[in-house]
Amino acid sequence: MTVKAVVIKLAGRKLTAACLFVVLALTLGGALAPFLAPNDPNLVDLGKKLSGPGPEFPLGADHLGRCILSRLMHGARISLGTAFLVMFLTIAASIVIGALSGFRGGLLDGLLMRICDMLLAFPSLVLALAIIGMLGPGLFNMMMAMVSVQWAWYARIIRGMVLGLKESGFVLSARISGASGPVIVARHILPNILSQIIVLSTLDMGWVILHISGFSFLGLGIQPPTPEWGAMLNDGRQFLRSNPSLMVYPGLMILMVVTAFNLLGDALRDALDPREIWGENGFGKQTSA
Amino acid sequence: MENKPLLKVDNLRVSINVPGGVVRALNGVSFQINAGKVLGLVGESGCGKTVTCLSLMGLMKGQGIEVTGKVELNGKDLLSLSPREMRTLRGREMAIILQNPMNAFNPLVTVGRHFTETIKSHLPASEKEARQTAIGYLRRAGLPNPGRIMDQYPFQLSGGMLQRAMIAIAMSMSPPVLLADEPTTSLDATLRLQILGQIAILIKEHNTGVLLVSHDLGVIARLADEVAVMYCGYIVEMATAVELFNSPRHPYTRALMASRPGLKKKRINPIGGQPPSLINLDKTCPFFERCPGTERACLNYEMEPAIFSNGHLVRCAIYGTGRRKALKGLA
Amino acid sequence: MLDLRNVSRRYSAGNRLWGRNRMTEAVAGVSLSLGEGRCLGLVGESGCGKSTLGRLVLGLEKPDGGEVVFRGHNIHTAPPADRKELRRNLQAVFQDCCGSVNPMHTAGAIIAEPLKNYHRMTPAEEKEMAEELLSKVGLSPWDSRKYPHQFSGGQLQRVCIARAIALRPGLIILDEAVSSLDISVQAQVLNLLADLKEDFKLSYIFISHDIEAVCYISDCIAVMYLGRIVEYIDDPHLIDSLRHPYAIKLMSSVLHPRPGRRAPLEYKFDEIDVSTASAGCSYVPRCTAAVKSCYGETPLLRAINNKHRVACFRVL
Repeated sequence: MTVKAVVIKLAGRKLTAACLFVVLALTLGGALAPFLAPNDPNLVDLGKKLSGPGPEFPLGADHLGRCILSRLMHGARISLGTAFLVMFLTIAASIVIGALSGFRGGLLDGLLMRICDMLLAFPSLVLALAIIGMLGPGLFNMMMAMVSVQWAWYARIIRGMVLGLKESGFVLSARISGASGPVIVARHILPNILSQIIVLSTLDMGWVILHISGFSFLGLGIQPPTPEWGAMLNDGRQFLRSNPSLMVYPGLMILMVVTAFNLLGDALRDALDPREIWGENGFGKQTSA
Repeated sequence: MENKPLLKVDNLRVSINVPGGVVRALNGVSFQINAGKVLGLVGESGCGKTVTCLSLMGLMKGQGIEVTGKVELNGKDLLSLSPREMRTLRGREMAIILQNPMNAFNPLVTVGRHFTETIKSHLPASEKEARQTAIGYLRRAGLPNPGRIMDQYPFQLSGGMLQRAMIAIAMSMSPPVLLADEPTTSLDATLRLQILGQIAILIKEHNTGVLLVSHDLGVIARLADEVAVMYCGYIVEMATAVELFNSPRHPYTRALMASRPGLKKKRINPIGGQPPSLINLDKTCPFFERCPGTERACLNYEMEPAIFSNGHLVRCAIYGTGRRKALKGLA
Repeated sequence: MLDLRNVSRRYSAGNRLWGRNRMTEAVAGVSLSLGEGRCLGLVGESGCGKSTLGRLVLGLEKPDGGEVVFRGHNIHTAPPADRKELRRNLQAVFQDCCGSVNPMHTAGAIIAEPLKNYHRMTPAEEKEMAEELLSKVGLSPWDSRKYPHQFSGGQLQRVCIARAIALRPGLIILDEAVSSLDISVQAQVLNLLADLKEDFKLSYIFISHDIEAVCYISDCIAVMYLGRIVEYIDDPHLIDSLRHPYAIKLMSSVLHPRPGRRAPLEYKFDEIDVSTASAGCSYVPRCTAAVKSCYGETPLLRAINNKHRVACFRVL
């Protein structure tokens, strides 16, 4: 399997290609926001507050006269960047814990999994809120709260996958050919579960983005005046009747990104399905003894 | 072969569209099964043995699968029956025993339930009657304590017991035709003879016609009256068991026999190479690359097989093509 | 070279929660020895403990009793430094060739893996070595770039064999290594194994339920039944003189591809619940020739001549 083959497969379907485009465009737009955005997102100009779309503000201005488009673009930077980072940290933590737990087994496994059970026993949102409440609002604290809530779930799944592969013939063969535990995990187990983890995390990206926006909407995450979609929704709340566009645009962005990630995750799952990849000449394979 | 054939298969062809081409799984397979006789079908994996069984049962269905030819069971053309008609016929007029009994049973359903459901779906019987019949058949299959086995789940029984139970279920309908797809492959050697013995009794009792599919020449030799050798979807040789094993003619059959590590053999001389990939096979003889004596005529394998006067059929260019040949001078 | 001294391995069976913790003996007091460059054939039905014995020799499992001694070292108690060298000498090939290779590695990487673990080699040396091994097992050096799914079963088993011989081991455990292959391919692989044995001075433990294949490749044969060795011959030519009732039954179940010599079919159900085994010879419930003493105590292996040992009271 090559990355190229998977990308070709993904781009082959129109809907998936569109999702891929949305995600890439937003990531790129966010990353290059300082250069691409028409205005400074934090420049307050009360004289132009709530002005409609025009040459200066393509999507209009908000209640403080800030350019909505620029704020959306900078918001993409924050929302997606934070989401990627949260996801990355979660996966990294859970791979370490899951692999350790699954591969070593024994007492360590029992201990780690009981911790997971404890974390999973709480409703995740409530737990995250409690952690933010303890640490205080802020971007970093919110990220920490989300990672510490989410890792348990991933660690459990990864442990399951590791346990399954640990008994597989090729791990046994690797052990016989003299590979040590860490080598087996790095060379044989992780590459074989990576595709499944990628699919899982893509499917979950929507969840993370929603939560980041949700926390910001509640005022617990990103603090004003930093542009962020959830925070923008919160700002626009008071003007829902008079100027719905203040809420419609960030809402649309969230909807679009979350949908794109979910569909992309589904498509990735199909594209990375081993039967799809290995089945190219599967008919020549042995079916009966 | 004086009696009328129960099952007549004529020019059966199956092709499957796969990504990257067409697999011609069966290429004009013809044979017939007579009452009380066993036709052995032998070949290596991927040669089309299982496809033959599945298409006879009308189970070769799905996207890109095309089945042509004629399958006649008691005068009915099976390929033209509706799925509904096929369903009532399956089990009752033609039953199948599969290779892996563990997979053939639903693990969440007791053996007894599998049995009574089969009986009730074909016969007007009450639960109690069905149970009595089932116990009777299990006992006749040689299983100890059949009443207890009825209430057990498949995982509680050994492979040999499950295979016996499957034979019992198949035979409870006393179908005229039984397809046995590798019935002994997943079993230990000592059990193999018992299962074959079981099948042999049933043939005698019910005068059943059996298609015995196996990759094991020993199993085929033990039970079959007639043997067909398959390679890449072709029947390359067909003759009575005695004739085929005593004077095999097709190079593939000969190679197959030479490949067995007998108890006294010094050194096996196996054929080299592997069976070709089945995707987009052309009309060349599929054995061409592995054959010890290839001729130019091997380039067209879609030929009429040679048939010797004793009924020995060989599809090989060495023996020429056409109707009947005199036996002498060609051995 | 290899010495098994009264090795046993027990598994707990039954329901632990309800206190019915029965133990089944997968391997019960097996003593065997194998010389350099020889092949021991281990034959028996499924569940008789032959694979467990293989795993014990490989050091994948620890015996509950007895010891496995390889070239003078107990492989389970040797100091870690020695153990690494011992492990290098003990390699294996399993039945399921598709499952025993990482689907994401090329054949070259699969074969180079043991080399990576034991030798410091440059990638170029590794590649050269892998290609050489591939040609040793009858594949083309070009195949090193192929992935497992591009091989047929027989070819993949050759890749597994190449990996097993990469470290020049002393002993290879062949656990049903040819059982899942087609007859013609099976014969090719058997010949390959026989040739490699000569070329590399290898010893094998050939585990199989197929007595013909065992007889073809082995120099000595042990028949196993329910964890015990019931008969041992030091010469495959003695195969016709097996005396233990189980071994005789096993021999009579060989199906010859000659319709003239048809083995008698059996109709009687002959299978026992392993868990009900009691004192005495474990074959008693199936034995047709059992006498009173068979129920009382377990027969031990006794030599009837210097090449032949049987565990049966009825054999004198």
